[in-house]
Amino acid sequence: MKLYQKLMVSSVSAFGVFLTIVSTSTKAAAVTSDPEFTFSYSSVTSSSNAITASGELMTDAYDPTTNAYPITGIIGTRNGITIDSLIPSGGYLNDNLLIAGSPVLGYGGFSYSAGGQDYNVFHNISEYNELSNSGAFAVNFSLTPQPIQPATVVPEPSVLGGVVSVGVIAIGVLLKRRLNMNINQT
Amino acid sequence: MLSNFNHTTRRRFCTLLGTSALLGIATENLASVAQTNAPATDTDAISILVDDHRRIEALMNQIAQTPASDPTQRSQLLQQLIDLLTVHNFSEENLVYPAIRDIANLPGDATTLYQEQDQTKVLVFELNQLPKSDPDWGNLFTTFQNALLSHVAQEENVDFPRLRTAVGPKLSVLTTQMLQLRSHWS
Repeated sequence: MKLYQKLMVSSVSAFGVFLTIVSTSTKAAAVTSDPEFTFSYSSVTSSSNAITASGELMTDAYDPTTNAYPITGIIGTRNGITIDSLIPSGGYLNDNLLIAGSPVLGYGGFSYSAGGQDYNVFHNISEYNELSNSGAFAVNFSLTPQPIQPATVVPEPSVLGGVVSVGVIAIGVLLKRRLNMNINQT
Repeated sequence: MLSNFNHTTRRRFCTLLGTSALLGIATENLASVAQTNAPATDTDAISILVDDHRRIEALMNQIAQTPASDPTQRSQLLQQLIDLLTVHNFSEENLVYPAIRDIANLPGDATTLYQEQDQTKVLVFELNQLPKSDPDWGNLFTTFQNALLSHVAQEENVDFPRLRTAVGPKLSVLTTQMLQLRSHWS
């Protein structure tokens, strides 16, 4: 009986450890993934300043403090010229954030260099713009996939406490059933 | 022996259950305290922005006094100013202007403030691009400085006081949100 008792207590402890591991891995998966987004944009009006740009934006994992994905890198082309690098946050008041909502860029947007020129892509009060030496021009901006809040939500400690409680209750019910079966047998 | 086992198991089971329930309640209470009480600071969201304004003005004065013969100093100071403006503008555009629009019920003022930030952005781009020793740089900077001072005066004399009145005690919520947003850059 003592062995049985120890086994049962160990099972409860093991279940608790299992829950902790599951919750920890869930949190790790939500924080460590570094998504990539495909972007493209082109000038709204056909003019001498025709713009066509496309490429990929590399980001860090979703940051709940800004509700955004911080952009960490960029590859692509602008009017056939290879994009050289992402300009760090603050270069042209750019925040380098992909917002989990619409519009996906704020007033800061992101900035990059291509062919010795700098560009800032952002969203003002009504539309996306590209700002360059030539001025600010409205662009049609698209992004795939859409930056959203991660579906995997990190459980709140209180929720975790609830999950542990339910788990312990379930184990307890099983334990009681087995004990009752043992009593009936003896 | 069996009754002893039952008693021991139940006691352990109840202890586990009690601990997890307590954990859940404690964290729940902690979360609600964090949500309703602003952090213990001697300032609030609007005061933080006003303090930013003083630092922005001081930096702008320093830049204005730096001669064209010292382009390195101009560049360094401009970068400091841009870094400060990036965080400041992000706070205003994502929290305060929406509050001015929706809580203070001043949609027209909010739109004007957004548009002024937009103009500031274009001027910052030009200031960054133009060589700091260029004879036109000083004049361009004066244009930028005047635009920013006018924008700051509008905020401090009209929109911020009206927001403070409209938002009332919920300013602490705005403050918490602003501190969270700004922590991205700290």
